[in-house]
Amino acid sequence: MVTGRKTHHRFAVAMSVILILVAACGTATPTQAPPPEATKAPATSAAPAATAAPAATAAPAASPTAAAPAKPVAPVGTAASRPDLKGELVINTWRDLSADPNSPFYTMYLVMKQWETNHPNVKIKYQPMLGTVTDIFGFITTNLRSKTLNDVVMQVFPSAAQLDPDLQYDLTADMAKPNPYSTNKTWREDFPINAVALRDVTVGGKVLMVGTTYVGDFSDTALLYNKDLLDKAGIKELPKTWADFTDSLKKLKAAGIQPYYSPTAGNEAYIFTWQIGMIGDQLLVDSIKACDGQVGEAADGRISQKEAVWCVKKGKWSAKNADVKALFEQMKDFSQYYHEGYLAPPAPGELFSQGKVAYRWIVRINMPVIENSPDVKFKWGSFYLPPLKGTAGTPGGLVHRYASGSQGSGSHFLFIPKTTVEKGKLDLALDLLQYATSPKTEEYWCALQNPTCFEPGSPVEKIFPGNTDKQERYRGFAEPSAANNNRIIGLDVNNAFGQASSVAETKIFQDYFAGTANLDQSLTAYQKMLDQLADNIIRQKPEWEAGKW
Amino acid sequence: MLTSTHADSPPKPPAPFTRFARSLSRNWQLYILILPSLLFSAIFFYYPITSGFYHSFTYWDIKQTVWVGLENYARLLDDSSTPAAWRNMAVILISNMLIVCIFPLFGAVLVVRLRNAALQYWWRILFVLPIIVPATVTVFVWRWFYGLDGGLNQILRMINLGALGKIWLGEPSYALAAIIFVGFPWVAGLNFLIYVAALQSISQEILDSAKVDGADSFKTFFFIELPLIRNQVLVLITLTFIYYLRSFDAPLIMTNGGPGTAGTLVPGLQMYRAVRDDLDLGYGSAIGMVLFAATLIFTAINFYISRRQAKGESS
Amino acid sequence: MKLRRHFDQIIINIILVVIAVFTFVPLLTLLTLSFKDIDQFNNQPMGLSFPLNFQNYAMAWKFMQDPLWHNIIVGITAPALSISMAAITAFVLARFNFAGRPLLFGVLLLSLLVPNTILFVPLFQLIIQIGAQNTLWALILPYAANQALTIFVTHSFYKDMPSEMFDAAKMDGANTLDSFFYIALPLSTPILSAMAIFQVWLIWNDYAWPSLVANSNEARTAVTGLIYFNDFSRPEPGAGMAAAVLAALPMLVLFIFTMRTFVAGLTAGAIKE
Repeated sequence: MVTGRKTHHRFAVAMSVILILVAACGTATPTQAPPPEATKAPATSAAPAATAAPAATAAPAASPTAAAPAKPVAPVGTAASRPDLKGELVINTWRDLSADPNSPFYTMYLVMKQWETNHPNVKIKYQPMLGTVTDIFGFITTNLRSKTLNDVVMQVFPSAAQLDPDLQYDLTADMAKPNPYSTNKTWREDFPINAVALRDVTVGGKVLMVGTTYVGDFSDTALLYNKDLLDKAGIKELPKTWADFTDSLKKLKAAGIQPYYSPTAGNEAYIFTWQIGMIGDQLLVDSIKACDGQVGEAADGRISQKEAVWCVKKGKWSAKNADVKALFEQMKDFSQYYHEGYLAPPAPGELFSQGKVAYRWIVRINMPVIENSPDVKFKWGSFYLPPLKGTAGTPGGLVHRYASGSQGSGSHFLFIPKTTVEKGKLDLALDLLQYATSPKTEEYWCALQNPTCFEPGSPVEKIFPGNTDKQERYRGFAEPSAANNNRIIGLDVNNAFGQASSVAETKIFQDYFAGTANLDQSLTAYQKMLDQLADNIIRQKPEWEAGKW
Repeated sequence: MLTSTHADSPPKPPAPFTRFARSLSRNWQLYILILPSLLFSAIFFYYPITSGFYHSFTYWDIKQTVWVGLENYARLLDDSSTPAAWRNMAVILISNMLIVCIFPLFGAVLVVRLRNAALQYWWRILFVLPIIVPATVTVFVWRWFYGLDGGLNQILRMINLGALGKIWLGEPSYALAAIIFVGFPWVAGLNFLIYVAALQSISQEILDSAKVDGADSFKTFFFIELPLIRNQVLVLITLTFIYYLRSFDAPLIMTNGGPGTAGTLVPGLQMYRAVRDDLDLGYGSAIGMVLFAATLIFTAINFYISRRQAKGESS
Repeated sequence: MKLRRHFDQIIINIILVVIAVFTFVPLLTLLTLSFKDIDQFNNQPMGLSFPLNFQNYAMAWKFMQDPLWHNIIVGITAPALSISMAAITAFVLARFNFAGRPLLFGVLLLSLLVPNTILFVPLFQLIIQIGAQNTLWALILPYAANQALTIFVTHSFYKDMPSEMFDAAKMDGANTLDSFFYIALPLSTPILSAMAIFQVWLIWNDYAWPSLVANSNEARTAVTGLIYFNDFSRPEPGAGMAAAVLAALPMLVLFIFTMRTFVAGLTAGAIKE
């Protein structure tokens, strides 16, 4: 018994030691790094970010202070519309906005910070949403339904499937009223380019989110290439047609180079699902036509969730269609050039920046990951996925893009869950949204983008004058110009049913690529998945009265 | 007044209800003392299990509940990944049951055979130590090990077998084996500890008399030690079975069930994904109920076998 | 003869060394990787490479300190709640005779037959219903409900205690709680602390449940934090490894201080479950 009691005491001692250790360390290192002060920015702040040192010599992104001076940081001169506001506003953010001053997310952090400064009685608390892209979309949906989201949610690239008028605060009425931070007659007028930022976040006439606008002509996505590897494989020109593209992939593979980075699992699996969207857009043209403008929805070249579900139910979007079959075959053909082990979640360390793959696809807001990587010791630039038919840059060869095809997408969106209204915090939340999308903030936001907003239609040479490195790196986002870009939000699982649902879709494709399922089996599985997803959505939306379709 | 168990025995039991009412009025303090446990059990066990059973017959996504009858179960049967998930689980179960019978036992026998007490003590500590490493950390390390430039391929390159290297978790034919291989050589840990304890509890007299009879180390093990620790082996097999029936951390962290729809999918993960990715709680509940049924059947069989063995031993 | 016996021992030790090497290579690799900068990580992942990069630990600590703290809070409160409720319940069930006792005992122990994974989905919904999602309560409450094993183990312990001890106390006017606190509890501390350590260990190991219901800065636990820290683009892979070391470290401390109880707790817990 005595020894037993002794060990019991030891347990207590151990616990208190742990407690003391943690407490001691906790006080030694503050929980949050002191936020970089906007005022500390150098006087040369007006200079465009283009003057940043080349990535190879830049300090590692890990040390926040080193890279900060590259950003123009200007104070926002708008006074608080309602200085009397008080309370605490908790914001769910897309990962940790303040983590990396090089990241485009950081601007949103500065905007929120400034709003907080303007309201002396308001405190902002950040609640980062972490995990893979799929995890975060899943988190938003689950917590929106279980009413556990915080007061405001900041996210990127919302999908049609996310919009839920039952649970998200409807901003339509406020849109028709003036924004106190602006001199325009209505808040809606504050949004540049015919409020293009609101286009994808409006469902059934209800505006459920607000977004930033990137005035310029940049696309959200492009393909990066490693010039050294292309040279090694004897590829002299960047491919402009699908045949050229396939040819280059073949040459790279023959030269023993991994051609194309496209993980189908892990954090960047969304790359693959977005590609299904881009290629699907070009193949499912007839199906898309048959679905657009149905069940009382507008025929606007974009497929809403309702149209998609109707389409599945009516068999217009079906694995029996030749075009869906063609999509599977096209993707399988493409997959033979993917990097080694593309079926598994990628290991730590980014392959492209290590010079191990020739091409990779990237979202523009993630460009700093490559630009600031100390690993990049080669010449690189960007282009775009050539169209399946025709030559890119000509009227016959529209380049299909994911998300917003060209001008307009600022990528960052904010919404208010209805629970915020119940908590009595709508005043605060709305004020933040109005501040974040006012013309003055927009101007500030634009000035901090990399590159800064520019006159639509400008060539890269004009956007980055004299900086050939930057010109090459961003060429793929700027070219071909808007007229030769196309992005119809078409029939794809990610768009219609949400990013989380595309996990199941990706797995069906994986089976087909790996040969564990043949085409027929894969198509059957695909059809089953579509039916199930459509049935679930119909149950969620009794107001559609799908029984009467 | 409270009644102690040993203090009084009621002369003749009254009708159950009156007895209960009387006991309640006399012993209300006792009921209050066990009330917290009962409440927790009711809220976090009986309510969920009833709710899970009911909701397995519904479409359920937090926002609403729609009665769908047997649809979830039909869908589970119809889902092409279901048989694969159960097959994967069977493979994991059987291999781990074999592993638990061989590797930790081998290690334990070796350590027990050591005659230097201090050396034995330190070997024991060393092989017990890895239990402090959370399973997630182990799985995390092995996930890196299986990568392109991960440890396994590095080791293969070192011994000039680099050509055999691959992305182990990305190959449908290797991924499941890779997951089972996590923790190789499977000696260290709790199982080892239990075997050592069992082997050390065998009385020295029995072992000495065996030695007198001329039994060597192998004979001692197979004819004396193994029969004596048979119960521990059986317990560990049962535990392994129950553990892998419900555990899905390794496939979740390493592959998310991939590659493909069924590469390393197990029913538990199928359930987890129904909740996390699809927010399809009804379907998830149905999978849970099927797992529950499987556990009950196994427990019943296990109970029956041990009963029969006990009977066989006593006769 | 003597030489042969020595030879046996040497062979056994050699085999044990080989097993130990295989066992510890992954863990030691984790340790060495945690000191590598990105270049060393990509180019020479095996073995130590100098200079050692302690920066990784600073980065990992910045992210991991809150999760570790949560684990400690949950690891103390949940077992404390669970053990205290279970001990009293077991004591009452073991030492007193009252109507419905066998039934209540069965009701409390039934959950031993049911693996908790099966309760996953409805528990998730329950946590949402009571608004505990993404708070520490989502972990503490279900973990505290884990009482059946402790009730089972301590029940047989209390039942086997000689009744003279309690009779004497009763003569002195001790009530139920007195006899629990002054007689039963002190004698059962070894068994209770063993059960507590087993629960701490289970909590520390749990991944799936916290990753589903405690995915916020206020509630993330160490092992889920580790996976989240690693599973999106970070500049330093070594820091991810450092986070794994940090996630395992408190258990090592606990083990060193309570080795005997730790081992006893895990053995008892595992076998009985």
